[in-house]
Amino acid sequence: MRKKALLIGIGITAIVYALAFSYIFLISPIILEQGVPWIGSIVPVQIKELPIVRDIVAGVEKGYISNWFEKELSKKAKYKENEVCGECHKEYLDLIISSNHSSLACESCHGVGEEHSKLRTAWSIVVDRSRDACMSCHLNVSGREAIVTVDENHYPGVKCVVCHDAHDPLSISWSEGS
Amino acid sequence: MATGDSLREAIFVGLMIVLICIGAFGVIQMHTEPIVPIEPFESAIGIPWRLLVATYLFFVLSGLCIIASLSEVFGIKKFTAIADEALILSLVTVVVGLTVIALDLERVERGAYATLGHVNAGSVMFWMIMFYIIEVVLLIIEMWFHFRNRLLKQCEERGLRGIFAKIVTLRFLRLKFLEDERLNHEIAVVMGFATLFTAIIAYSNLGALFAANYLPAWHGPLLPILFVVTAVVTGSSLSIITTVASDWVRGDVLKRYESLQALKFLLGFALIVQAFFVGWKMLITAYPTAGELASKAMAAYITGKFAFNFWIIEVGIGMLIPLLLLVSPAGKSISGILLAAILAITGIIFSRIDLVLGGQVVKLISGVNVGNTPIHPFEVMTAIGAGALVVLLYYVLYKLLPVEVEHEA
Amino acid sequence: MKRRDFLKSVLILPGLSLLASLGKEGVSYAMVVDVSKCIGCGKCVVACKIENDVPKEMPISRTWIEGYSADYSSPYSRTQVQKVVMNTTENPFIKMKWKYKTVFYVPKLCNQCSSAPCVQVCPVYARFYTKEGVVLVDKDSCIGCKYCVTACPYGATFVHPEQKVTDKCTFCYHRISKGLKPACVLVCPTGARKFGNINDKNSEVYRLLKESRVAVLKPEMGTYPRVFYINLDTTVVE
Ligand code: HEC
Ligand code: HEC
Ligand code: HEC
Ligand code: HEC
Repeated sequence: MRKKALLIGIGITAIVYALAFSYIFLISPIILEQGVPWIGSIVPVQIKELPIVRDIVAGVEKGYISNWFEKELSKKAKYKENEVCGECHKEYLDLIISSNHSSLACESCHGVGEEHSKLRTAWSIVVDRSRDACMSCHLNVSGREAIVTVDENHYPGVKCVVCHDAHDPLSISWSEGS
Repeated sequence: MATGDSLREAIFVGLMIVLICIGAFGVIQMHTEPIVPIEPFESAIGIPWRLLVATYLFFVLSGLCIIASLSEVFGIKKFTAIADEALILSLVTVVVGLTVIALDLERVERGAYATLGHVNAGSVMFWMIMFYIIEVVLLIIEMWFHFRNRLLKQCEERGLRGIFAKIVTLRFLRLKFLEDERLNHEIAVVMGFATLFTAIIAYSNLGALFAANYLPAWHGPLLPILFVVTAVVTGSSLSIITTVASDWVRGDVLKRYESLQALKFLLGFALIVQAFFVGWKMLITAYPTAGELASKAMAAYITGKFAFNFWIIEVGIGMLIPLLLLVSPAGKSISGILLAAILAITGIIFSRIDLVLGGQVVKLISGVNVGNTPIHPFEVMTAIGAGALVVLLYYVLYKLLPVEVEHEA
Repeated sequence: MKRRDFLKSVLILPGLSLLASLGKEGVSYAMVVDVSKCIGCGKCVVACKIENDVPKEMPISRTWIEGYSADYSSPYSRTQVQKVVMNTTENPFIKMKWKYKTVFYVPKLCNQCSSAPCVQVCPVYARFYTKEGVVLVDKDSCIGCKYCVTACPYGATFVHPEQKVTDKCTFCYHRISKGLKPACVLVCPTGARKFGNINDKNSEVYRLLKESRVAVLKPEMGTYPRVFYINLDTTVVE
């Protein structure tokens, strides 16, 4: 093995490795921006001033390190708080606040109200009067200690809202005779 | 060349192209709306890495670098006759492997951001890509120097081979000092060392990629070593298969008997080490003290869903039968060695699938229950296409490069 | 604020970010889940899927409910557990015939680890911490390698079938940054989920963390989650 061959071979290897590593540690925008952990910026200011490098860093701001953070922030919230519904449905909000359903959000029964609060139409919101709607919370399946449950034999066949007001469930509009 | 030969070659190439087209169809179907309405081709079902990752593992862990370097770097003369083919095949497998994993990505085109430096230098996967790219670059440089002397001679030839040689040797640059035959050879040796070094880093880094996960079947210190060892198994068996195949095509099967015998020893040795590591990994993971989940994960292999794959194919067909074949009198004949190599490769392919899919069966998570390990028909098509691509590229390079098998004659 | 600004404000070694934010005046979000209050109604899953555009019929969700039914015995390894997951808008618990007597429901979501494996493994830096400690997915640079899916010990990450990138709970970052509650917290009828700023002495999570004994999932993973559980059962921790 001659020295020349060794030199050339090792030289090529070193160049390949150096290119790859310097690419990460010097060119990579994140490292340019933040520096190496614990050591800080390892890139001299002069290099940062080079036009190519400046382009890359500028590109970071423009997009290819995307501005996802702003995008995440600019997403619209679809679910509204109760107060938003209350702006137009004051009577229901007042009703529900003082009832046993006070901990419930309007939208856990009525579905998402994003569209509805813009359109204000009846069809843009769900009004589910079925027994299943109430039973999704109140059926006495196992593991529901945290809520007052009823079984299927609680006046079967009659919709819950016939007797209970959904927004004030304990005001029962039913008497033994009817 | 006889017309029968060229007809056969045309049929072979055509077949490979058809298979590649099938693979391409599979890829397109994977990433676009499938024609056949099927369950979405997503990891939603709970197994994010599937057949394509296994294929990738198989290809990039081909270990042919190691086989090629045995003669080049370590100067073991018996392996000289197969070094050329091993080099070509190692380049082809790694490149196709990387292609496969790129196709498995959900958004390959985003790689552009990454090339501009949007990378996380703390990620094992990033280093995996990095090291494999370095390996490919070094491998190409090594091959350039390795074949350079013969390519320079090939420049005189007419036709495609001549043109190819003229282009890749960069003869028009008139690099006088690189026409020294001994120098070229010696540089190739140094580069071979560098490639081997990078390859081993890449293999063990790939092992770490899996082992660093929290999945109990993968987690552990043994996976990187196991990957290097199985790479040797893959490399020697692939080398045996290609050697016998190309000798058979050329019509002189006994030509490289010595090399095959040497490869046989390598394969046997690697199989024994592999068996030991597989057993050991199994043991320390399945042993009750390793924890509930770890033993549950191993139960998938020992008695569960992957038991057949593991015991029959991986252990039986992949390790025991080849070992028995190699030590038995059949190991003296070429067909015996070839059979052992094919069986070992089958075992390796299944062990890759088992590792990737089986590792994810028992997740540490309780959220997404993993019931089944679906292998999608489109994935199978893609894997077949990748295999055909390897064969075709190997064939093309074999035709273009001045491969020499005459060393022993 | 620009992303690079807060990237700067977060230490690269992730584990320290929680330490750095604790005790400081800044905002540090956390969720406290009271397992005993969960009734398995599944409103949170529905709300989350709608709020965050996750396909409703697919068995993937940013938050999901696990129903457990357990038969404890000693030694513990003989304990039998049946587990059913609700991760579509369909609620399996209503018609469920549980095998064992003890039944409880555990809402789960991304734990917003302070030392998150997914942030560590992402090869393209598509996951990052905000200065409040929330882990976000940069869906513009995610390449979909799915390493985070395998790396997450909680199984909270998945591939979004339509967007073709990974997705996970962000604590509804777009909501909480406007001062709203996360969607799941909003619709929870029994108040099993509580969300707030730990550094705010008046917040409910601060009170809960001070008053009750909390557990985190898989503490042995060293991920330091931001989701705390009250009344957590051992069968859940696994
Ligand atoms: C901007 C005012 C406004 C807001 C905000 C608003 N609504 Fe309405 N809502 C209306 C009007 C107006 C109607 C009557 C539509 C009609 O009868 O055609 C209505 C009707 C309804 C109905 C009855 C539909 C029916 O079938 O009769 C329900 C239920 C309802 N709203 C629920 C909600 C909920 C829940 C919210 C909170 C997300 C909400 N609304 C917010 C204006 C509003
Ligand atoms: C427990 C579930 C539940 C909750 C919580 C709830 N609703 Fe309702 N809501 C219903 C049901 C059920 C009906 C249909 C009642 C009926 O037909 O008698 C209804 C009807 C309505 C109607 C239409 C009444 C009509 O006669 O057309 C409005 C408006 C309404 N709700 C508003 C609200 C608002 C505002 C809130 C939040 C403050 C709210 N609801 C919370 C279940 C609920
Ligand atoms: C989203 C879940 C949910 C739905 C849907 C729901 N409820 Fe309730 N309900 C509750 C909660 C929570 C309470 C409060 C329980 C408590 O405070 O102990 C409650 C309380 C009640 C109570 C009072 C029980 C008591 O003795 O305190 C009645 C009656 C009731 N609901 C009826 C209904 C009816 C009728 C419907 C269908 C319109 C309905 N609920 C739908 C969650 C729900
Ligand atoms: C025929 C009228 C009627 C119907 C229909 C009806 N309830 Fe009731 N419900 C009552 C009356 C009356 C009471 C109070 C007396 C009692 O405790 O039985 C009551 C009590 C309750 C309570 C409180 C139980 C307790 O122990 O405090 C709940 C919860 C309740 N109902 C839920 C429902 C649900 C959910 C439905 C629909 C599936 C429903 N009810 C349908 C009449 C009705």
